[in-house]
Amino acid sequence: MSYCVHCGVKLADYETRCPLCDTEVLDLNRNEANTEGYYQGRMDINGKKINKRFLVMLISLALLIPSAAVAVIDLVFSSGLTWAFYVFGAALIIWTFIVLPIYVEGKSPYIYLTADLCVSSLYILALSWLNTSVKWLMPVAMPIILSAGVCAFLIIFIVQDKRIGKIEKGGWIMIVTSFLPWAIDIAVTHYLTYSFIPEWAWYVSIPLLILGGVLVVASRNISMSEWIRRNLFF
Amino acid sequence: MFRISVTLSDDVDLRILEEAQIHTLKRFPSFASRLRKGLFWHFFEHIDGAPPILEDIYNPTQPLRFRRNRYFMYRLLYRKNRISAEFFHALTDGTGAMTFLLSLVAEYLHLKNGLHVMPSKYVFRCSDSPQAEEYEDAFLRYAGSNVTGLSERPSYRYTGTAVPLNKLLIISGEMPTEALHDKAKEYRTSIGVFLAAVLLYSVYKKQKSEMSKRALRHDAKISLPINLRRFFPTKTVRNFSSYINPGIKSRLGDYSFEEVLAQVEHFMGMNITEKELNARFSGNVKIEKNLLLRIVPLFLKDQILKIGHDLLGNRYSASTISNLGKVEVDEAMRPFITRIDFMLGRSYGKRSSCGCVSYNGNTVITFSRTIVEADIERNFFRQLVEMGIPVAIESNGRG
Repeated sequence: MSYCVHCGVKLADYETRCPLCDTEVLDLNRNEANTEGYYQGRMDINGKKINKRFLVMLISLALLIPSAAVAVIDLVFSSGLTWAFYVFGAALIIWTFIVLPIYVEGKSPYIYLTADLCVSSLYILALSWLNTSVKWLMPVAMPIILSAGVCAFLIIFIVQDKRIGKIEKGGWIMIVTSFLPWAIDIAVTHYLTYSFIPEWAWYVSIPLLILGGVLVVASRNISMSEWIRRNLFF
Repeated sequence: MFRISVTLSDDVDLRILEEAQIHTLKRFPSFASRLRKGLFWHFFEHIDGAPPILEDIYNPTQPLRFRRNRYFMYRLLYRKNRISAEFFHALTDGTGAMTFLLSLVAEYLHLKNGLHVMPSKYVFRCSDSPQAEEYEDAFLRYAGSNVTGLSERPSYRYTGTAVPLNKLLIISGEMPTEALHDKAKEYRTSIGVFLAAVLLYSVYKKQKSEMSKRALRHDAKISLPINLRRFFPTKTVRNFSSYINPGIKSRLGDYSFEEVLAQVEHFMGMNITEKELNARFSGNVKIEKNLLLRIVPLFLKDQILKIGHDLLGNRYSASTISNLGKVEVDEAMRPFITRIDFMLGRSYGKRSSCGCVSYNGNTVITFSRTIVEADIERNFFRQLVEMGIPVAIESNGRG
């Protein structure tokens, strides 16, 4: 055991400098073997705490201020609320997509997705009601949003399934995603030509379907899945 | 947060410790509770199970992450032959925490070595049933109608180079209780008053060293937690403590240690009385019972209290010294416990705090600080060494 020449305190063997005055300990007889400190152990890393409530308030304010400004401008120039509703709806969509998962943390992703889907659909409904001259909103935008929602539900279900591996999950996600171009193509083609036969979606969906199918089959073949895993650094 | 550690003579067996914790939680039902938010108030709710026992950490008293800790308001840690517990102050105070931990250790020793420990001040037998008085809110029981205001002069506060948020620098000094007792006796006072005076003198020296009139404008003050059980008998293991802030008027001239000691002693003598303490905590209870404040929603109360605490909470003292005093355990238990440590956690306003506990002829004084500079600690321990008290120092580094 050494002593600090300035403070006069006895120092533990592992102290190389005095903790009180930072003076270097010079002791030729110091027991090097006994160097484990009383306070050694793992470091508890809590990370920097994000003030969730503050963040939510900040984003909400950032959305509320332009909405209020737009409402005032609309009232002044149009003598009533007309186009300001577009901004309110967009702000509500952003709030639901970003703020809700931050504020209501730890809930099932299906809940967030349902909320997102409801708000987006309501926005399309409101737009088509407010602006009757735009005809494509209900026949094109609404089916696309609903198809994307169904795809997202299925992808979440696949991602959360613990029984299947990463490669098989990738394959199933590709298969599910391959139906989205079809839905978009059918909605657009039907609106333009009243036909239900897709035009361009084959070029996107079929390669996705094939690739997805290969991955699903390969994942069940051990040697092939190992080869893919090695090459993709999984 | 604050922390109590018990060092055993043998390495800790994790499996037995887990079992002992389950038994102890049944004996201490108030510790098996979580903090819930109501519409108007926070409240405790009983929970089943036990918190995970983790390997001890290098940076103690980190904020509790409730979900990670299964919502318990204390965490249990172990490393080699040491068992440590860190407590959220809303759950208990130093006395309650020491009782819980020593009862846990007694149960652990019972399960491991078949030791039968007699119940004592700090040890409850886990086979006994809990009594309602042990988890009562003693503040409500003893609150009277006379209240005193909390207005007082702000204190000088020092600062330095801040360490990262997830770090806490610790320096602990171990010394013979006998030497400390003799020195206190020489000054015709108790160890508690003597140590408080040494800390206040260390703060005063730091204030003087700043060599500015601005620094000397404020009083040098420290905070002293008071165990209310001494004046208001209760068996509660829930929080039942108050505090006082003794100080000196630095602007009036130079003070010697003897003068500082006299100021502390007289201040404590005047303020640590049943009536003064009662009036002090009755004011808090009165606020709690105010109908108008009761109906204010919790989120508003939280924000107002947070702002109030940030602005005023830490203004009245530069440091804290919490002395748990002499811890006595049953004769059968003594050979198995080699050391007890007590440490206060990070305080955002006060740059360093100090916890003291005496056990088995040794007193361990542990400073925890959030700045690199260890001026107060250096002044404090050098003062003790100059008075002839041998001090052995340990630390977890200088940041």
